[in-house]
Amino acid sequence: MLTNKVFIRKNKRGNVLKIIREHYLRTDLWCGSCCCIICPHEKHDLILAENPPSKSSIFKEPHYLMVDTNVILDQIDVFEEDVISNVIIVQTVIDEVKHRSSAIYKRLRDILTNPARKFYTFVNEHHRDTYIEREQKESSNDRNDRAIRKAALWYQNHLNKSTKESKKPKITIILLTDDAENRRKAQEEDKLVSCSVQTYVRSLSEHPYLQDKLCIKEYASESDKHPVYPPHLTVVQMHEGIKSGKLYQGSFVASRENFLEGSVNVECFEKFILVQGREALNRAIDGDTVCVELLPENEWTCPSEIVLEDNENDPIVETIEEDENEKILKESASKKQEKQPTGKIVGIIKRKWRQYCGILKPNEIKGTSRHIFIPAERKIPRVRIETRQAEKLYSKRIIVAIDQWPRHSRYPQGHFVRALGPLGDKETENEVLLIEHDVPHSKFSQEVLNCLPSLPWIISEQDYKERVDLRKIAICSVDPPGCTDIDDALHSRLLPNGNIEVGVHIADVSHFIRPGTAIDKEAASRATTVYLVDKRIDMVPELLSSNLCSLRGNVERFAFSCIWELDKNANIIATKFHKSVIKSKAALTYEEAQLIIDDKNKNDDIAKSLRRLNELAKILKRRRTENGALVLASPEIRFHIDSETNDPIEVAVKQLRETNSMVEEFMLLANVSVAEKIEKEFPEHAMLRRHPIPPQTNFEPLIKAVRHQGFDIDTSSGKHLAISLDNIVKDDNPYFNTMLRILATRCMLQAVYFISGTLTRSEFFHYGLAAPIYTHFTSPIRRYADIIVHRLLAACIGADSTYADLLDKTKNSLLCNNLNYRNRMAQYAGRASVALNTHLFFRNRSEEVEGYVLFVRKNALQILVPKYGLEGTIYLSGKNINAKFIYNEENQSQQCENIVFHSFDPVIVRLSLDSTNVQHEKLVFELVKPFIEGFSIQSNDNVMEIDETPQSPTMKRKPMEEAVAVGSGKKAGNKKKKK
Amino acid sequence: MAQELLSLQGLRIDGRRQNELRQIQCRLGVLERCDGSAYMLHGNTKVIASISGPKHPTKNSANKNRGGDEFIFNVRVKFATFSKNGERQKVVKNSKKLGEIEINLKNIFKSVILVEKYEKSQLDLNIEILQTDGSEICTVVNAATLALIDAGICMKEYICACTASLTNDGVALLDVSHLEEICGGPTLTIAALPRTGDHEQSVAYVELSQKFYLKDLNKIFDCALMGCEKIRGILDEAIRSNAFELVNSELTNN
Ligand SMILES: [Zn+2]
Repeated sequence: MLTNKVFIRKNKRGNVLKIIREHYLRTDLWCGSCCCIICPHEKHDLILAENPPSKSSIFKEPHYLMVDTNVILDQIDVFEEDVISNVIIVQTVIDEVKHRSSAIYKRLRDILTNPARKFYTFVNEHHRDTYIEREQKESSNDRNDRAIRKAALWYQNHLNKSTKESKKPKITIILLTDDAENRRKAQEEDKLVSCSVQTYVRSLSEHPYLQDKLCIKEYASESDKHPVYPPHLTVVQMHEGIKSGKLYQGSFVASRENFLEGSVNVECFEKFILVQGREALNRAIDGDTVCVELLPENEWTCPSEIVLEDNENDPIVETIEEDENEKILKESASKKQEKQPTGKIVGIIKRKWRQYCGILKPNEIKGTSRHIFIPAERKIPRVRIETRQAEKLYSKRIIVAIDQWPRHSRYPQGHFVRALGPLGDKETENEVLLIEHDVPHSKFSQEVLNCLPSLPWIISEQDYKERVDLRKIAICSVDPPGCTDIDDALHSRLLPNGNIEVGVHIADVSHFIRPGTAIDKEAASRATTVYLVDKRIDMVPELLSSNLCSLRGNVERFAFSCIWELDKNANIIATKFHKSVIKSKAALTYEEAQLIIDDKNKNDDIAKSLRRLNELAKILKRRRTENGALVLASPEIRFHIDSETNDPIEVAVKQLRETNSMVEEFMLLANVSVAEKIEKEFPEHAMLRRHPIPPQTNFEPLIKAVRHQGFDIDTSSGKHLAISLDNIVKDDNPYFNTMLRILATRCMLQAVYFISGTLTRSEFFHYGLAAPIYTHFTSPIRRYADIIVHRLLAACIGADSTYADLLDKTKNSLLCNNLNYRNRMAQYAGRASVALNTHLFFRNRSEEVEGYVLFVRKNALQILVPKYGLEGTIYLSGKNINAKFIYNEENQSQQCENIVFHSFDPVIVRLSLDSTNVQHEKLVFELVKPFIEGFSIQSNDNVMEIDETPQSPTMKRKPMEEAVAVGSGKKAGNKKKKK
Repeated sequence: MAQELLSLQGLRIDGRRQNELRQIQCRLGVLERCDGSAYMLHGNTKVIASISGPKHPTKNSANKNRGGDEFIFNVRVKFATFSKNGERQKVVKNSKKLGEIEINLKNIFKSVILVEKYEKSQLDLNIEILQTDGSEICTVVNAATLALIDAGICMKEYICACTASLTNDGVALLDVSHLEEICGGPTLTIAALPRTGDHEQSVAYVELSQKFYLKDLNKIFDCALMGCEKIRGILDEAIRSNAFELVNSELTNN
């Protein structure tokens, strides 16, 4: 059966178009119920239970649920709970959800594709008996509501017919909708059972905690309460205002230090527009796209530079009078000189709310269900939520979603989503830092897992035919200990002409991840595997990352090989690429490989191969450094984790061996060779990686700091910098050169992915590696960029065909943006994880260690502790500090009486943990040596253990002390961003 | 967000399954003043094809043909003014795209018309595309086949054309609508002689709108061929019922 859908649409040029589309109606769409005896179901269609047990105290008979669109949009948190099952979702709802929120659509899809949840999709829009046309003067919302009611009615009749004939228990359809009018129509006109989500969820008496997850929006008029905030403009008003140039659109950035301050980034302004005070902020939340009005110039002000924390004691009761904080803010702001464009927010164009991690604020009033939630991210305001399980949640990390922010409410209103786990618990804190760094870490959905090859995975004859057989060659892999996702393996052998053949073999991930599939989309969205100290969040499911793709020892695996012919001086004579089958002879650690190289008695193929590679790598490295590649440093540390408690028991700086450098050199060489190849074949579409040359101003702090030590550093080019860094050494301070390199690293910009056609050739330059062109090819298991590069290279050599999106410059540039964003976040998450573990390490101890002054600041010293790779601040002014320091800006020093601090000076500091702020524990640095009366603290001689038996199981720590350090991780993140 | 070509429930945007054709309606002999004509509605693509000839070559054509004895076959294709989504088209005569379609049609049909029977004569095929909704070339080919048969031109076989596309998950989709075309899947258009020889189908024309993986080619090709065969059945049905009607009316007239 056929019907035509006719739309009237306006196109971009403002022309009105009449669009006609065919719309087929079918008779072969089934109801999916096990009790049905009418539809000729296939077994896999039978989703809904024959006799669904009722959990509701109101609706005791067996029933299926049907919902409208808003119920899914508002209450997805409730529907994600396993308690809710036997639900029919009609196509109308799915289409609308997809249109309104892609994030919620994805969550809904995950539920729908999980058969255990018993959610059935009924394609009512293409069913002959349930399709309806929009009537004249009917809004599309009303039409959709009617379509849902029509489907519900059809189901009710259909099921009645079945159960009557088969004499089975009757099944009721319950239509859940929060729209009173819709409910009335369902009950009165269609004689259906219908109720609000709240009523239904409250009737699930055995699952009272489900109520907390309800998103409750107040539709009641707000006029009876006194508004705290001015009203927002309507969409039309904002649109006109922006069009006429009176208002501006931009993204709102909240201040982390001061909750009454923020700024709006408007494209046409060079500076951010400053927004100060509660009314001017007018309910904007960090990340929202807002509409801002500029204040007259005489009202402009400047950033307050003060720290204001929202500490109100009784936020449950709204106060109208101007509060203390606002006063402080006004006073501090008016003192300053340099004014900055200032504005007020008049409307919200788009909310960018997400789910927030945090804790529940203890409430003095016992027994109330209204509570205040304090997010871990300081930029986010407190959120008002309702929960009946507060007592249980006080000691937990929880997630909350914001539902709305009405005018009369000081804080936004939200609902409890779920508890992550106890405060201070390692798992919980890992989860927090993943969420706060926007790292997608949910389990892979069934749809994604369906893309995996079935086991046992067998290499077919065809595969051998299509690939070069390298199984006989002595290939081995060299990785850190415990590595299960082995991306790369190597080999070398002597050629008859005296040259050396070197092969780099990379896991052939693009063989398994086909473009456009669910697994491909998921990997593209994740972009990278994220490594925490004790946890790995895979980009692709484990079957691939640790098994089928991983180039493990003594198993046959698919690889993408890059084979060179090199002469004795490591010059490339010829390069070729092909897909291959390999069988790695050994999966070695760096240490094992080093032992083999050093052991003169070993002379098998692997040993010879490794020795040759090692020699060549040395030449390659020397040549690279001569060209101006930088040897940079960042204080990297490793934790030794107690296998029982999972707590860090020892911290050590990572050790580097020759073999690390050996593997690195060949990976770099492969990446460069591949970059050249794909850029040559696809000059417009190659995905490359560049490291921009930092502006000279970035180096100023470095130049100043070094000048004091009597050195000059030449930063005019990478090569000069490299030479300078090599030459500046101090015999009395062996760590001096390392610090220099750490500082130099901080002056750099971030390396980024880009598409070759979007930049000019000179911009391709990779500053750190001094390479004119570079890409990522060698780690496709853990980086998505490498997968794209593999596909490009495969297309170059005819091993695979291209597809439209591979050569779509715009789409791939957007992809690069996502990859760059995720990489950055993964890096911050990794650092936050290190910080978290450092804090756990210091929880019950304090230690006096050697450190160095890294920077001298106006009111503080930045200290680096090499032993732990830690950096911290010693404040020189403020409350409780009696010593007077004199800051000398010219030579970057701080003086207190006869003691002077310069950059690079050695000091002794004591490290201990400050747990006063539950959500933001921080490591405290206190000066021990040199001793300054009234400032330094007395030495306690070496290590002092507060808790003498840290591993004793009887020692349970109090939850309040167990909190953690998202804060410091974030800080590290920000620092990098500014560069 | 790009629309999915195939939903989780296995339905396409317009409600068809993966291997279903759109609705096809066709009639022969819709115009009286020409020697053969056909009307074809395929989905929402609407085409009228008309034939004039065989006849003596007009002077113009004869000149172009440099006085040879060959069969002269002219094809003209025209889009109606409001053929696309109600938006007024700029009427471009002899545009490159039209020219290409015309040449293709000419080659396709020259391969099946028994040319030796029509030496020294001229045949004009006029196509008017009244409304477009994807797979226009197919509808044009199918309509032309019907018109040629209506005009009684001798042909080796029916020529049927059909399109197929591919979802991101590698499922072949039969008969591509306009909406599916703009959603980004590759489109394969083929014109085939579904029943030449024993079982061999011979293909007269293939066109690909964009690149895709080679391994999928067979799948998508088979899908389109299956469509051609289905369409052949529909054309056959239309021709037979047309013949039946003609015979009936002859009988009643006598
Ligand atoms: Zn049924």
